[in-house]
Amino acid sequence: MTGLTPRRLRLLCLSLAMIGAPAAHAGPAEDLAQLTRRIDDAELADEGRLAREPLGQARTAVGEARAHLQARRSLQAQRAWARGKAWARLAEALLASARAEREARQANAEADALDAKASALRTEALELEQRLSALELQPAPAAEAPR
Amino acid sequence: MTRWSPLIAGAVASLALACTPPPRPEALKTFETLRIGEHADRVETRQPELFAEAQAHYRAALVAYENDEDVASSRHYAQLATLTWEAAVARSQQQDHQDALTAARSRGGLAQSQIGAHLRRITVAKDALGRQARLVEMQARMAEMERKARTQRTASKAKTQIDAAALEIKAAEGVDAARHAAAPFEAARGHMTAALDAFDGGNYPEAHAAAQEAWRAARTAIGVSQPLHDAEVAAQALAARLGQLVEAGAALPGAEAHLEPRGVVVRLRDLFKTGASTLADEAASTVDGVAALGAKHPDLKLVIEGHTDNRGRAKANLTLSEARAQAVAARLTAGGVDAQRINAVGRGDEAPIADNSTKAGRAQNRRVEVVFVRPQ
Repeated sequence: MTGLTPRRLRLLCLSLAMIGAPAAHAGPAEDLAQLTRRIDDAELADEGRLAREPLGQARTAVGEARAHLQARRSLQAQRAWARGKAWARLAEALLASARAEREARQANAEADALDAKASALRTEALELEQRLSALELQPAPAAEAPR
Repeated sequence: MTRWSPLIAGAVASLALACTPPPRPEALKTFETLRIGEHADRVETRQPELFAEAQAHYRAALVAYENDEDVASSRHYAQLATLTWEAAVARSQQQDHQDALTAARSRGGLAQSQIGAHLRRITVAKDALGRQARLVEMQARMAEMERKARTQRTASKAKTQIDAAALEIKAAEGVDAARHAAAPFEAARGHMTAALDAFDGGNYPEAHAAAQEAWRAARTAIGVSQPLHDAEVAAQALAARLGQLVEAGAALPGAEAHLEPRGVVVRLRDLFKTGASTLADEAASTVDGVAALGAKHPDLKLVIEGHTDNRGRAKANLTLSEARAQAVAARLTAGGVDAQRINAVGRGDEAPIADNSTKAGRAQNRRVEVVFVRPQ
């Protein structure tokens, strides 16, 4: 079979409809450059290589999008760009989550230290107050009897 | 028929293949698994936008697969749905971590405020303990000062008593208590030694008590010794005085003087002519001398005795001797001796001091004796 089959026609319509969808619009070269910078920034921030895989996938997707653009395969380019953005967003979310986790851990450690310090100071305050109560209850030293 | 069998079989197979739906993309299954996984409720609640986006991608994937059998599109949208879902999960976890961060900071802030409160309590308690310690120290120092002052007062009191006892013992020595009241005197000295030893040893109450005993014993010794000592002293003074009186009497012209138990006797002769009771002129100065002695010793009584020898009648001698005694008394009175002190008597020839059988003896017996009476 050759030509525009009903199936192919439906696919074309669907693709054209996807062009208008908010999650996937046509990404020109500037958008790919912006996405590439976004990936670069995420890689710089990823000291622990936590998001190595999603960032790698994002780069691959950007490369595929560029190739499809050059080959005038707009639908494939658009889809690759969408995938690239999704991978980049996932990488950023993972990095942000890890950063938040670190901050939370550090804050908990600091809070634990402060709790321990507060507890120690509370103990010290109680001991001093008990010593003071004991002293206040003691009678004054009696004068010695004359020889 | 056999020649066409492969062709028929091939056509049937192609037809069957053409009618078989394409396999469900793994990406679709993957998302469907995620969709009902552990994070489903949290993602829908906490990341509604990403949740809606993932759902839209999923619906597109379903449409592509179920309606158009477009596996590639279905795979693409399913992958987008999965990536969106995973991003939503990561953001939800980020929110969890941020919540934990907020809670930890809140806990830290609470701990900081507690630390501040405990530090203030500690400061207050330490200040109070410091004040209490200084109060205790001050009370101890005051007690020590009081003890020292009490000790000093006790020592001073003992010293005063020791000084008083020493003075009393010295006074006892002055009245010769060692001889007159040996027992209490020695007891006083013994107590004094004990008092000094106790004082040197720092035992001031004991020193005070011993000094009191020494003082009392010395006082007792003085009480016994004083009259005896005074009597001795008086006797010695009287003896000395009477001795001087004897010397003074003996120095008078024509007079003799000696000491008898009754007193100093100044014996005067040749005051009168024979038979007369008027003082001879040459004897007046001697009697005046006696008057002067009498004036010097105004506390002594005088007894003037007239004596004669034994020639003539006793009664006449007695009368004469009395007249002569009176004459001397009158002269003494005129010389300044109080008449109340004078007792003039005549002894006649009753008390000769020499042998009346000789002229010299009779001359000696003819005399007037002025007795300065020894005080009792």
